[in-house]
Amino acid sequence: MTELAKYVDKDCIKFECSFGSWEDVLMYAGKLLENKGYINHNYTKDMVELVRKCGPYIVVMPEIALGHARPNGNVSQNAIAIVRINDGVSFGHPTNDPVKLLFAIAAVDDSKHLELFQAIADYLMIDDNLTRIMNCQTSEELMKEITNE
Amino acid sequence: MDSIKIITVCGAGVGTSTLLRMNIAKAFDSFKLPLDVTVENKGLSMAKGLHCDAVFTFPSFYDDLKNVYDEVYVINNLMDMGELKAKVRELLIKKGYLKGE
Repeated sequence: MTELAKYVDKDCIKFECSFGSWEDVLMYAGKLLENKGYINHNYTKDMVELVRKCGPYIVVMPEIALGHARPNGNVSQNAIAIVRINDGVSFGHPTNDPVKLLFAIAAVDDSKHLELFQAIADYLMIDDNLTRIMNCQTSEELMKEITNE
Repeated sequence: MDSIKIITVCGAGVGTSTLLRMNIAKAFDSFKLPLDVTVENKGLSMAKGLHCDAVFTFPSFYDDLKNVYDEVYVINNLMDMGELKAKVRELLIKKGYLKGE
Protein backbone atom coordinates (compact mmCIF):
# COMPACT_ATOMS: atom_id res chain seq x y z
CA MET A 1 0.00 0.00 0.00
CA THR A 2 1.30 3.47 -0.82
CA GLU A 3 1.55 6.14 1.86
CA LEU A 4 -1.02 8.14 -0.11
CA ALA A 5 -3.65 5.38 0.00
CA LYS A 6 -3.60 5.40 3.81
CA TYR A 7 -5.36 8.75 3.79
CA VAL A 8 -7.87 8.22 0.99
CA ASP A 9 -11.36 6.83 1.53
CA LYS A 10 -13.10 5.47 -1.57
CA ASP A 11 -16.16 7.64 -0.79
CA CYS A 12 -13.89 10.68 -1.08
CA ILE A 13 -12.89 9.98 -4.70
CA LYS A 14 -15.25 11.44 -7.29
CA PHE A 15 -15.35 11.90 -11.05
CA GLU A 16 -17.20 14.91 -12.43
CA CYS A 17 -17.48 16.41 -15.91
CA SER A 18 -17.28 20.05 -15.03
CA PHE A 19 -17.56 22.75 -12.40
CA GLY A 20 -18.66 26.36 -12.73
CA SER A 21 -15.60 27.71 -10.94
CA TRP A 22 -12.55 26.77 -8.88
CA GLU A 23 -14.50 27.71 -5.75
CA ASP A 24 -17.11 25.07 -6.63
CA VAL A 25 -14.48 22.33 -6.93
CA LEU A 26 -12.97 23.17 -3.54
CA MET A 27 -16.42 23.36 -1.93
CA TYR A 28 -17.35 20.01 -3.48
CA ALA A 29 -14.14 18.31 -2.32
CA GLY A 30 -14.57 19.81 1.15
CA LYS A 31 -18.12 18.47 1.27
CA LEU A 32 -16.83 14.93 0.60
CA LEU A 33 -14.60 15.21 3.67
CA GLU A 34 -17.35 16.88 5.72
CA ASN A 35 -19.79 14.07 4.90
CA LYS A 36 -17.39 11.56 6.42
CA GLY A 37 -16.93 13.72 9.51
CA TYR A 38 -13.21 14.28 8.82
CA ILE A 39 -13.51 18.08 8.78
CA ASN A 40 -16.11 20.73 9.54
CA HIS A 41 -17.42 23.34 7.10
CA ASN A 42 -14.99 26.00 8.33
CA TYR A 43 -12.11 24.00 6.90
CA THR A 44 -13.81 23.90 3.50
CA LYS A 45 -14.31 27.66 3.60
CA ASP A 46 -10.66 28.14 4.63
CA MET A 47 -9.49 26.16 1.59
CA VAL A 48 -11.36 28.59 -0.65
CA GLU A 49 -10.15 31.58 1.37
CA LEU A 50 -6.49 30.56 0.97
CA VAL A 51 -6.76 30.77 -2.81
CA ARG A 52 -8.72 34.03 -2.65
CA LYS A 53 -6.02 35.50 -0.44
CA CYS A 54 -2.87 33.93 -1.84
CA GLY A 55 -3.77 33.14 -5.45
CA PRO A 56 -3.66 29.92 -7.46
CA TYR A 57 -0.25 28.70 -6.25
CA ILE A 58 -1.95 25.50 -5.04
CA VAL A 59 -1.89 24.44 -8.71
CA VAL A 60 1.59 23.03 -8.12
CA MET A 61 2.04 21.35 -11.48
CA PRO A 62 0.15 21.20 -14.79
CA GLU A 63 -3.46 20.02 -14.22
CA ILE A 64 -2.97 19.29 -10.50
CA ALA A 65 -4.15 21.36 -7.52
CA LEU A 66 -3.50 20.67 -3.84
CA GLY A 67 -6.36 22.28 -1.90
CA HIS A 68 -5.59 22.82 1.77
CA ALA A 69 -5.83 25.21 4.73
CA ARG A 70 -4.42 25.58 8.23
CA PRO A 71 -6.05 23.05 10.61
CA ASN A 72 -7.29 25.64 13.14
CA GLY A 73 -9.09 22.91 15.06
CA ASN A 74 -11.39 22.14 12.12
CA VAL A 75 -9.93 18.75 11.22
CA SER A 76 -10.79 15.63 13.22
CA GLN A 77 -9.03 13.06 11.05
CA ASN A 78 -6.20 13.16 8.51
CA ALA A 79 -7.75 12.64 5.11
CA ILE A 80 -7.40 13.38 1.41
CA ALA A 81 -10.27 13.73 -1.08
CA ILE A 82 -9.60 13.36 -4.80
CA VAL A 83 -11.78 14.98 -7.46
CA ARG A 84 -11.19 14.25 -11.13
CA ILE A 85 -12.58 17.02 -13.34
CA ASN A 86 -12.87 15.68 -16.87
CA ASP A 87 -13.31 19.02 -18.64
CA GLY A 88 -10.95 20.84 -16.30
CA VAL A 89 -11.51 24.07 -14.42
CA SER A 90 -9.50 27.29 -14.44
CA PHE A 91 -7.80 28.48 -11.26
CA GLY A 92 -6.18 31.42 -13.01
CA HIS A 93 -2.68 29.89 -12.95
CA PRO A 94 -0.38 31.31 -15.65
CA THR A 95 0.99 27.93 -16.81
CA ASN A 96 -0.78 25.02 -15.10
CA ASP A 97 -4.49 25.49 -15.94
CA PRO A 98 -6.88 23.80 -16.54
CA VAL A 99 -6.96 21.78 -13.34
CA LYS A 100 -8.14 18.23 -13.97
CA LEU A 101 -7.28 16.62 -10.66
CA LEU A 102 -7.77 18.16 -7.23
CA PHE A 103 -6.42 16.71 -4.00
CA ALA A 104 -8.12 18.25 -0.94
CA ILE A 105 -5.78 17.72 1.98
CA ALA A 106 -6.92 17.88 5.60
CA ALA A 107 -4.50 17.25 8.47
CA VAL A 108 -4.99 17.61 12.19
CA ASP A 109 -1.73 19.54 12.72
CA ASP A 110 1.24 21.05 10.85
CA SER A 111 3.47 18.01 11.11
CA LYS A 112 0.74 15.72 9.74
CA HIS A 113 -0.02 18.36 7.09
CA LEU A 114 3.50 17.94 5.79
CA GLU A 115 3.29 14.13 5.89
CA LEU A 116 0.18 14.20 3.72
CA PHE A 117 1.78 16.62 1.23
CA GLN A 118 4.84 14.43 1.16
CA ALA A 119 2.72 11.33 0.49
CA ILE A 120 1.14 13.02 -2.54
CA ALA A 121 4.47 14.40 -3.78
CA ASP A 122 6.22 11.05 -3.44
CA TYR A 123 3.44 9.46 -5.44
CA LEU A 124 3.34 12.09 -8.19
CA MET A 125 7.12 12.22 -8.60
CA ILE A 126 7.25 8.58 -9.69
CA ASP A 127 7.16 8.47 -13.49
CA ASP A 128 3.95 7.07 -14.95
CA ASN A 129 1.91 7.31 -11.73
CA LEU A 130 0.29 10.53 -12.88
CA THR A 131 -0.48 9.17 -16.34
CA ARG A 132 -1.95 6.06 -14.78
CA ILE A 133 -4.29 7.91 -12.41
CA MET A 134 -5.32 10.33 -15.15
CA ASN A 135 -6.38 7.33 -17.22
CA CYS A 136 -8.67 5.94 -14.50
CA GLN A 137 -12.40 6.18 -15.21
CA THR A 138 -13.99 5.24 -11.88
CA SER A 139 -13.39 5.70 -8.15
CA GLU A 140 -12.70 1.97 -7.82
CA GLU A 141 -10.02 2.07 -10.52
CA LEU A 142 -8.40 5.14 -8.99
CA MET A 143 -8.45 3.64 -5.50
CA LYS A 144 -6.85 0.48 -6.83
CA GLU A 145 -4.23 2.50 -8.70
CA ILE A 146 -3.11 4.48 -5.66
CA THR A 147 -3.25 1.46 -3.36
CA ASN A 148 -0.90 -0.69 -5.39
CA GLU A 149 2.76 0.25 -5.28
CA MET B 1 33.61 26.30 1.82
CA ASP B 2 31.40 28.98 0.32
CA SER B 3 27.83 29.03 1.49
CA ILE B 4 24.56 29.99 -0.14
CA LYS B 5 21.25 30.61 1.55
CA ILE B 6 17.90 30.01 -0.13
CA ILE B 7 14.36 30.70 1.04
CA THR B 8 11.30 28.98 -0.43
CA VAL B 9 7.98 30.78 -0.08
CA CYS B 10 4.33 29.71 -0.24
CA GLY B 11 1.10 31.06 1.23
CA ALA B 12 1.06 29.46 4.63
CA GLY B 13 4.67 28.27 4.86
CA VAL B 14 3.85 24.69 5.79
CA GLY B 15 3.12 22.22 3.00
CA THR B 16 3.93 23.59 -0.41
CA SER B 17 7.04 25.57 0.53
CA THR B 18 8.38 22.57 2.43
CA LEU B 19 8.06 20.36 -0.64
CA LEU B 20 9.74 23.12 -2.64
CA ARG B 21 12.51 23.32 -0.02
CA MET B 22 13.19 19.59 -0.27
CA ASN B 23 13.15 19.55 -4.07
CA ILE B 24 15.36 22.66 -4.32
CA ALA B 25 17.86 21.05 -1.92
CA LYS B 26 17.85 17.95 -4.14
CA ALA B 27 18.40 20.13 -7.21
CA PHE B 28 21.46 21.79 -5.57
CA ASP B 29 22.85 18.38 -4.54
CA SER B 30 22.65 17.18 -8.13
CA PHE B 31 25.38 19.67 -9.13
CA LYS B 32 27.80 18.17 -6.56
CA LEU B 33 29.50 21.50 -5.87
CA PRO B 34 31.67 22.19 -2.82
CA LEU B 35 29.04 24.57 -1.53
CA ASP B 36 27.26 24.76 1.82
CA VAL B 37 23.60 25.17 0.85
CA THR B 38 20.94 26.14 3.40
CA VAL B 39 17.30 26.09 2.33
CA GLU B 40 14.51 27.39 4.58
CA ASN B 41 10.78 27.61 3.89
CA LYS B 42 8.52 30.49 4.87
CA GLY B 43 4.97 31.72 4.48
CA LEU B 44 4.64 34.93 2.49
CA SER B 45 3.91 37.06 5.57
CA MET B 46 7.12 35.82 7.24
CA ALA B 47 9.26 36.15 4.15
CA LYS B 48 9.99 39.87 4.11
CA GLY B 49 13.39 41.35 4.82
CA LEU B 50 15.30 38.14 5.46
CA HIS B 51 18.91 37.72 4.50
CA CYS B 52 19.36 35.24 1.67
CA ASP B 53 21.01 34.78 -1.72
CA ALA B 54 17.84 33.84 -3.57
CA VAL B 55 14.15 33.13 -3.16
CA PHE B 56 12.30 30.33 -4.95
CA THR B 57 8.54 30.66 -5.09
CA PHE B 58 5.35 30.22 -7.13
CA PRO B 59 3.89 32.65 -9.70
CA SER B 60 1.26 33.92 -7.21
CA PHE B 61 3.93 35.44 -4.96
CA TYR B 62 6.38 36.83 -7.49
CA ASP B 63 5.04 40.38 -7.50
CA ASP B 64 5.20 40.62 -3.71
CA LEU B 65 8.70 39.23 -3.48
CA LYS B 66 10.44 40.85 -6.45
CA ASN B 67 10.28 44.20 -4.68
CA VAL B 68 11.96 42.78 -1.59
CA TYR B 69 14.62 40.45 -2.98
CA ASP B 70 17.11 40.78 -5.84
CA GLU B 71 17.01 37.15 -6.91
CA VAL B 72 13.53 35.66 -7.16
CA TYR B 73 12.97 32.48 -9.17
CA VAL B 74 9.47 31.33 -10.09
CA ILE B 75 8.69 27.62 -10.14
CA ASN B 76 5.73 26.53 -12.25
CA ASN B 77 5.94 22.78 -11.70
CA LEU B 78 6.93 21.80 -8.17
CA MET B 79 7.38 18.15 -9.12
CA ASP B 80 9.51 18.70 -12.23
CA MET B 81 13.16 18.21 -11.25
CA GLY B 82 14.14 19.35 -14.76
CA GLU B 83 12.65 22.80 -14.20
CA LEU B 84 14.05 23.03 -10.67
CA LYS B 85 17.56 22.08 -11.77
CA ALA B 86 17.45 24.53 -14.69
CA LYS B 87 16.57 27.41 -12.37
CA VAL B 88 19.12 26.40 -9.73
CA ARG B 89 21.68 26.19 -12.52
CA GLU B 90 20.79 29.73 -13.62
CA LEU B 91 21.43 30.96 -10.08
CA LEU B 92 24.70 29.04 -9.78
CA ILE B 93 25.94 30.56 -13.04
CA LYS B 94 24.93 34.03 -11.93
CA LYS B 95 26.77 33.54 -8.63
CA GLY B 96 29.86 32.26 -10.46
CA TYR B 97 29.78 28.71 -9.10
CA LEU B 98 29.13 27.22 -12.52
CA LYS B 99 30.27 28.32 -15.94
CA GLY B 100 27.55 29.33 -18.40
CA GLU B 101 27.30 27.84 -21.87
